[in-house]
Amino acid sequence: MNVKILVADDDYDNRTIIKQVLEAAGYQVLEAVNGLEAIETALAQNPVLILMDLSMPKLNGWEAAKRIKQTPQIAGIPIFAFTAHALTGDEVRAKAAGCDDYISKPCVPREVLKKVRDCLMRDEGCRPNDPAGPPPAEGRG
Amino acid sequence: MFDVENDNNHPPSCAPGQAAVKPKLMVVDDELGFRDLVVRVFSDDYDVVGAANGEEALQKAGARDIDVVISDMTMPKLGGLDMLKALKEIDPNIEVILVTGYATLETAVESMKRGAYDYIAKPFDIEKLARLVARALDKRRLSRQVDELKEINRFKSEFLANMSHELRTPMNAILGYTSLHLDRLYGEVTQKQEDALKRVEAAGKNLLNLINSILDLSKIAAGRMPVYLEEFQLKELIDEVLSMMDCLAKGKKLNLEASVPKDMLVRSDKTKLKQILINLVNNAIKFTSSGGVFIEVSQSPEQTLFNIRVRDTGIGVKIEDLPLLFQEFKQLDASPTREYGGTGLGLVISRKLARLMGGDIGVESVAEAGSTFTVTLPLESDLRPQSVESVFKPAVAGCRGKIFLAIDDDPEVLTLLRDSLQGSGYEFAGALNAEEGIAMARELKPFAITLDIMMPHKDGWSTLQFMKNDPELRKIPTIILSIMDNKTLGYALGVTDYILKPFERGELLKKLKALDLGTQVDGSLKRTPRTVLVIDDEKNIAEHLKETLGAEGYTVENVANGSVALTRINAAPPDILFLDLMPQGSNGFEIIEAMEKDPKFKDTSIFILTARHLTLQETDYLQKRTEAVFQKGSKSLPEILGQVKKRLKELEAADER
Repeated sequence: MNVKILVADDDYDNRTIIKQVLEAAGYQVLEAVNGLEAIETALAQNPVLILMDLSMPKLNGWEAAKRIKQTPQIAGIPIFAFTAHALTGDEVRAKAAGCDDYISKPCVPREVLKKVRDCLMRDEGCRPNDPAGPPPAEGRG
Repeated sequence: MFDVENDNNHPPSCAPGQAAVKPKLMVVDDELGFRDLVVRVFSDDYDVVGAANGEEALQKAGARDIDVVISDMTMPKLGGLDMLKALKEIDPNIEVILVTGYATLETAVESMKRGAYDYIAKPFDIEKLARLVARALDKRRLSRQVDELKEINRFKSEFLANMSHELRTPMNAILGYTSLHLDRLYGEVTQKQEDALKRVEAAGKNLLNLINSILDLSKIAAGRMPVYLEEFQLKELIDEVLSMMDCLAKGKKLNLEASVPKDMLVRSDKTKLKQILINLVNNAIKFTSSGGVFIEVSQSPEQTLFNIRVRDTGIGVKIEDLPLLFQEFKQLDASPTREYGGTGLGLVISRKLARLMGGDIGVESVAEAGSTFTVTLPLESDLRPQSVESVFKPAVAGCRGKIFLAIDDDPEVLTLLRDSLQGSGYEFAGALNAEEGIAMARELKPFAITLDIMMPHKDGWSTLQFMKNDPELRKIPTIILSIMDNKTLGYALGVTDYILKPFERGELLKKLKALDLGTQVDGSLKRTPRTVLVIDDEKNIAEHLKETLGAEGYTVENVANGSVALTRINAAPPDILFLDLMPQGSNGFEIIEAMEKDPKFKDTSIFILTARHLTLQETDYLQKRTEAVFQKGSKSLPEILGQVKKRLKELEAADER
């Protein structure tokens, strides 16, 4: 199974929980522990979706999302931000940085899975190993 | 700890460890004699510093940490009033008592406006000055403590807000792994394991809610809850809330319905409004066992505000509990909370969020019949404070009862007043500053007004003076509602009553009711007729008292001839006797002596008026036997009236007890 999803989070537990539920569903999970690693992994592996924590060391999630959306090869990859709970305004800032959706933390693994599946089904262009690569960035960010 | 219940004659006892430090008192007067007197009287309890004029006082105050200042008004170089202003700039908590030779109302008002603790007119009783100094010192200590507590509270909130990430991260692991177990990701689990895991999950979610609530409160308190405005269709938001809560309502077989205009674009913080509505609907469902929950949307007539009403048919809230609903960490009777679950912080947060967005939340409820919570928000939130102000203004058209107007710069006080009036039948209007208050008074014609003293721009004293000089507004009974205790000045400026903060709901309602009943009958106040007898051959004082006190329902009588005075007094002992020391045909001292021998006069308060200079012995004699001695011409009529009225109020208060 080659559908690759990148999970970027400096917190081991969150990364592991998401990884386990996605792997159990048959996805291949790539991991990154900071924003820089997330960008490098995205460039190298071209995942179909990025799940990204916002507060990470070295380069935070907002900044990483902004840079990804500015990098043509990977600008089309949907990004879901993990946000702290609703009131803090994280989601507004996440969307401003170019994230496509958000998942509030702490998250329920099966709900994350559902969100991932919905997105990948909706987004025909996100098929794995598509030789044409992800669709162009218009309409996003 | 500080000693609150000191007897006010001595400075409050200091905390252990500070026992050696005497409070610092500065006396400012160009007369050496007065400075010496103060040093003599006070140096046992205070560290006394003298200054000959305002400039010297400022230099000394800057160098030392002065607690209380006693100062003359008229001095060379820098006068008392200007010095007062400058002192307050050096230390806002410094307390100043002004000593005046000629206490006119204008100077008194001016000094209070500039932040004097109080003023005292010469000649005065040194004991009285000592009491004032001790009270001023108490106030300074309290203000300092308030400042410190505010700072500590801010640190606390800041700390908690910073902890946000740290507190929630472990919850992620607890809830996440539990969920993976329950989803059989790690293989089959037994029924017992599943039950246990579900309890872990439920407890984890409860803890998370609590953490979130506390963090929200802290963030709001620390001023770290930004508002994100966006334009959205209100109907879409309410539909989202309905679909989220539908399951919960169905579980209890309740109707959950909303009537929202299809096209209603608002500009507000969507996330926060959603949280408020989820909270209100969740509460409504929680406390309702049959019937349903209904959401209605309406707009204010001026199209500047919109209301979302969440109405239920649940257990309701008792009237006396309504003001407690929105108070932090103060749950009503704990049993429903325990029975229904929840942190009890939801309403507190909801109201604070609504206020952040320039609106507010109010509640009406009937026990056993249901509650209605109304969220009021500006349609186009630009977060100007004006939008908050208008929230306190009732729509004139929709007014059912008599309007009561409160003027106070603190929205919390207005809210508390509004909540306190729930169920009283009075309609509430609130103004956050004097200008708005005066405009509202003209427009709404309230039956009574409460007025705060310490307000920015135009303070309560100036507002009062303005209203009492306005032919339209002067008739409206005004009650001062302040933490400042200066009843004499208040009554002198024409207030009907004086309530000290923190006020009690019962006291306020009783006073309003008395005003209401009184004004209904004959346009003036109805009360137990208190009698004031003036024995003076000059008519002006009696006439002034008659004019003002008479209008408020007191009986004022004048006897010009001293020889018949005693007969008149004996016939019906007055509550207050106003006595000229030398009326025609008699001697004031003889009248006092005669009254002293007769027990039926023990409740009569005597005020003395004299034109001549009194000897020390005479002053002493009179001070022991009378309420006050007024030198003719030294005090203005309103001030005399103020003192008399204060005494009348004290008598009434004693009656009620």
